[in-house]
Amino acid sequence: MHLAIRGRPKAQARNTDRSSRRVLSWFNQNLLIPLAIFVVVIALWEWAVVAFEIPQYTLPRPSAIWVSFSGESGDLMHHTWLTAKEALLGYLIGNGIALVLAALMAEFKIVEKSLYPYVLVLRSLPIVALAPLLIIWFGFTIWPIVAASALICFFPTLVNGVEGFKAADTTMLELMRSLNASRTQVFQRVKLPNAMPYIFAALKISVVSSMIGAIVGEWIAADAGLGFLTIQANNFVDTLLLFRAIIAMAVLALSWFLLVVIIEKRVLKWQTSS
Amino acid sequence: MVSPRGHYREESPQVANIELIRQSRDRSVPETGQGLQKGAIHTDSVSKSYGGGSGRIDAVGNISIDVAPGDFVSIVGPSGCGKTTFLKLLGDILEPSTGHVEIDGRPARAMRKGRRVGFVFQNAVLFPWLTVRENVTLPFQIARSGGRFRRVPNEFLERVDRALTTVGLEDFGHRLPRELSGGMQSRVALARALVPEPAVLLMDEPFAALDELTRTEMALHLLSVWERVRTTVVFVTHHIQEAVLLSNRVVVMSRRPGIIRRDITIDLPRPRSLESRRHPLFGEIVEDLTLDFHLSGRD
Repeated sequence: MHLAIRGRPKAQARNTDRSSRRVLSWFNQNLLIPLAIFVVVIALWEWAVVAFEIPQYTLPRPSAIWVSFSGESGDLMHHTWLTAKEALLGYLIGNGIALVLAALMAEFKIVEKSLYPYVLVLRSLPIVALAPLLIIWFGFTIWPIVAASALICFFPTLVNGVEGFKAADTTMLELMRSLNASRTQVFQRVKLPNAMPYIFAALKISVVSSMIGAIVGEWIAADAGLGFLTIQANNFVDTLLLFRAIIAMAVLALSWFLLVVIIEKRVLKWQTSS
Repeated sequence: MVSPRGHYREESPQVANIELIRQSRDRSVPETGQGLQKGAIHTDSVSKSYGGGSGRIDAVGNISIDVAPGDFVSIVGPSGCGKTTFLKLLGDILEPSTGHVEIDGRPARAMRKGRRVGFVFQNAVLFPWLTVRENVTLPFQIARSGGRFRRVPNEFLERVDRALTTVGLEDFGHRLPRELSGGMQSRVALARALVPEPAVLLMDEPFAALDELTRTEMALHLLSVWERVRTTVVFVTHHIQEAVLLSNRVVVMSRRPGIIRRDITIDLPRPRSLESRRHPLFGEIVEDLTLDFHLSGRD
């Protein structure tokens, strides 16, 4: 009895030790070097600004940027949330349309032949050239920005999607034929799962694309958002504000990217981990 | 026809066709469990060509062959002779350019649509995103769902479990294919092909990707499974020893366009095992076929 009571906390402690050792080992393998590089770069930056007497409007010290966040974080959050909303809507709409179209293009040759030239034309148009047109159509709302964001992530997802849907293993298709599977079943059970790695590759790329679309859109038609902040910082030569906006963009894009990676890992858990 | 050495029978393709069903009944070919004859294959001048004009490739010449219900026939021949194409014609995965294929008196297409033809491919062709059990359940999923994902009834799931037990993988149902060895993956593919209880099982070099030891192990495993299920098997291989060990009959194909060069009945006693390789007839047939195999490759 006495031993049992004493034994349990020991076992728990052993488990805690093991899990903390696992976390430590994961940290050492994945984060230690990037974090060390970050610390060194920041230290060099801080030192160089002081040593070479670089003016703040050209390059502020990292410590000055950090300090400037205090008192401004509420306002920054407001702008970040707006950009995130525009980019996310653009991301969902652009990728959604691209994936439906990719499936249709991969399944029906006639759709591919009819639409591909127009898709290429659309791709070759610079988004900045389209922005005034989008403003005319959607007015000064968030929608021209959402449209710009959707347009910019549409093409890579479409191309990857078509490639993924078409890349199904021939023998798998023959197996499905031998089982008398319908076209819908072949799509659901072979082509769609098979295209998932391609689709996720595109979804990761388009995180950044949709952010670029939203920011470029805000440069042209917005009075709020991180893109708008960068323009405002430029007008007032407020380098600290510019850095705050850039850091917010980086944090937003990185968290979003990590979220997609986590979903990818869950959906594609059948793939061999690299 | 008697071979020059007089130990085993060699039939001309024409004679073999007529003789086969009778032989199968009185010799080593087993009856099906239910006492019903099933899985009789009949092909009539089947050929397959690809392309047209000057670029036309004749993959399979005119092949007429009959396979008795419950028989085990191996097809051997040099690389590119059209063995796989012929197997796909039997299973209606490809359409013949001329001639027709019948299984149990019905067109091959009707049999495929009725899921009466099982296919095992060169690679295991397991869906990496499904567990072993889900892979084996696939034929039932497809038969039931009609595009929607419906639950497979318990009676079918019991058949899946029985199939997994038959291939010795009852403890691996929840694993993903990548967690299995090559031999185990081949066994899953075999279970998946067997689970709808097909009249005919078509196997296209199913052990080609395995190492020699695993390959022999798998051949013996297939033998034991076949002894139990007694479905008609047409087995394509380029491994002569494997063909002789497994089959009641070995068909040798010529170079492209593939036609039947020889059709040999293997009179080795059953049940067979590794010991069957020590039988004097085994070595004799293997030696003869090996020589013929190389000659057919040079023709």
